[in-house]
Amino acid sequence: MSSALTRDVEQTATEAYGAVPNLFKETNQYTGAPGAVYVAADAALMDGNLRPVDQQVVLLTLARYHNSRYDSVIHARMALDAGLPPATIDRLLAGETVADDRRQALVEATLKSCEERGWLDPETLRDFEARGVGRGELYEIFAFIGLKTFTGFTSHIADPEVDGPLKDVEASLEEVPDEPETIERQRLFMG
Amino acid sequence: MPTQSTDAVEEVRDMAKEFYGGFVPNQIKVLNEHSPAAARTYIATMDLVEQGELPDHERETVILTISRYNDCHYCTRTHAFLGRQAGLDQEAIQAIHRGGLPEDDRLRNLVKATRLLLDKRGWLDEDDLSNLQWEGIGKTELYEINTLIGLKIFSNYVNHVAQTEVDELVTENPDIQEMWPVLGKMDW
Repeated sequence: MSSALTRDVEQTATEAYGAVPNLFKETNQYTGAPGAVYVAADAALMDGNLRPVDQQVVLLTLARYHNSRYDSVIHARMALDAGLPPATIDRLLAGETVADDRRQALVEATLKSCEERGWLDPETLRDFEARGVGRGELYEIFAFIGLKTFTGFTSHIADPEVDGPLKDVEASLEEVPDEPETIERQRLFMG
Repeated sequence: MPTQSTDAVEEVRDMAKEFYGGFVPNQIKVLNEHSPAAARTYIATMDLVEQGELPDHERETVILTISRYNDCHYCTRTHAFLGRQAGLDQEAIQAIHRGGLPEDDRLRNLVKATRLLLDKRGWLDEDDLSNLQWEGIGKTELYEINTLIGLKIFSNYVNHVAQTEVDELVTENPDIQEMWPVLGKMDW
């Protein structure tokens, strides 16, 4: 389909990333909203409290949390560009702790927020703040959790091919998360 | 912790007033106090998703479903208000809030699809996709529901941590007051 939103995604994504990622080529066939939301959020959050390297620590943690091969490869590339060492990228994608406590606090804040669905108690908030993850950083982590939940869920359905220029990154990674062997529904409500 | 620049905070306040018709919702104030970038992200992305393919009342149905799933006190009440403005009836809103299903077939199928995506963390198999397609939920709907899941996770989690006060515009609305037995009145 073609609409003002899809055309905006094509233009903005090409300017920001050099090409339209395969995931948004797929969604643009049906609706421009996902791509438009993603590129707008990505641009706005670049002016936030989290530096690019911090952002990629969070995003790699989320790519693993959602078992998203597509997001893992994209954010491995962006993490390298942001200056994160390859060994740290491999540790994050393997779910292993990282040596730097501030980065580890970002990982823990991300995972705890996902697992507790945002219900963080005051003691946990104080602990994260003492380790450099205050309220502003946390709110931005929540934004990234939202973005990666939606790209993760969408990748699970669309199964996009890793973008051509990123295939060498995919090949260089020690471990790339992928679809779990068993998927169970955890039903909360009717329907 | 970084201090927010006055210019950035004021820019977001102006942006919110323009988007919300002169009004700055408490959730935006909460975000703007700690991260103008996060506040700007929320306003800009909600504006964009409103330009998507789902009509307003269907989008509000999905948002209510997600917000109830995450038990967000602020978004369930605020989107009950916005849902009424978009044409949803009280019964549909209350059914979603109780964890049930609306009577209207289309809204019912949107609620079911949203809960399925959340319950399975997006891992829908061929049977799921085929059943959904049969119920009129194709990739257009699924991709927009996923986008809304992302945006609402962001705001639901912020409101959990901030315990954001529900705006008077919402609490004083007669339709919302009628729904207090189901929505639950917040005692601030």
